[in-house]
Amino acid sequence: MSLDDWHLVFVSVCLVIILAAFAPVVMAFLPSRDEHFFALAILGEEGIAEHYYPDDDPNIEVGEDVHWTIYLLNHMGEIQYIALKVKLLNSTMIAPNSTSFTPSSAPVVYEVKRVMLNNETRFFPFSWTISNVAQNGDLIDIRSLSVNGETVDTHSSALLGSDYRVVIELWVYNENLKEFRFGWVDGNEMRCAWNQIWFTLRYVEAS
Amino acid sequence: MVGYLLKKNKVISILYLIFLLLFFTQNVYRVLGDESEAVSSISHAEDSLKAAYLSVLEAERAGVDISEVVVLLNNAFTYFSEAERALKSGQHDTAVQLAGKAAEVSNAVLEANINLIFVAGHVEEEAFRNQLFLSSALVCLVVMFGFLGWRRFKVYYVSRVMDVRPEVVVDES
Repeated sequence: MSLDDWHLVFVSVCLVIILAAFAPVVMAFLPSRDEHFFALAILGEEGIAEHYYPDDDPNIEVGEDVHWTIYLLNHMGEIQYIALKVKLLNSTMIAPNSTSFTPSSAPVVYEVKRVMLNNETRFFPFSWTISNVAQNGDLIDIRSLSVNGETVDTHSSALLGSDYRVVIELWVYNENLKEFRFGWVDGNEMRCAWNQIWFTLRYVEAS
Repeated sequence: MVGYLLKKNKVISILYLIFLLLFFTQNVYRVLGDESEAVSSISHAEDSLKAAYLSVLEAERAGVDISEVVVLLNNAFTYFSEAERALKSGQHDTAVQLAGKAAEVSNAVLEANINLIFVAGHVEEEAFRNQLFLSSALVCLVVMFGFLGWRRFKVYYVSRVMDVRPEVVVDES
């Protein structure tokens, strides 16, 4: 190699070392490129994605206990203040909309609020029972539910008790708006998470 | 005599009615008062919880380890949920008590965080300054030793080249 070639090697090596030395300082100013998200799921009785109903039969009776677990993962890059809202809907009630980020207008039957650390996974036990029902012709009205041992009044009727659903919405506290919103902002994009499980109420009015 | 008795009964009935009205009104006011106190305590606790959460968020962004504080904050949330449940079931005194506990824990978290953020801010600033100093020192060393090394290498290279230079020998035969 000629002296000029050696000169080039020397200068290149020095430049690489200089860049490496300043890398930690530069990194402090670079924005994070991680993808931020929440993962929401409903798990069955044994904490896995099966056995959602007693005997795996989605036709449930009044007083029958249903045990679920709500799984939530926070991968938003920092702590989050979240609210899980559970709603009881029939087939005609409007479900949450993932395009317009509109929650269901049905009343909340159960709500839990928590602060979650980044990358924290939480399992929220969710046991429910239909405790009071009224029949009006072919319409069956669920008057109250027992959720985690607490009785909640509700009014949701369905033809012959079929096609009810339990909807779980994830609401996130927005620090700028100082309120809970259905969904969250990731960069310039809005996202939301919700889940639903259908069931039919098997009800025979006592004569 | 009969007229007198009727009049007396009327007076007693009116007095009894007034007594009932007063008793009922007083109880209604007491119940409403208890409920409004519970509602206001819960609302106050919720504000405290939100403020505490925002302070924890700020602390995390400042580089503080917030895992223990979040446990405390979630305890406050548990008190708060219980207070809401107590309010719904008409246990106003319990609701006030639990909301008070939630607010107390939240305020403790808020206070702890203010100190932590102050310390973390200084620690982070100092760490950045140290890093900048180290990087600059390293660059100076690299430039200085690079320059000196290059000079030495250049001398060495030239001497090697001079050594291997072919010698011209005059053939006199």
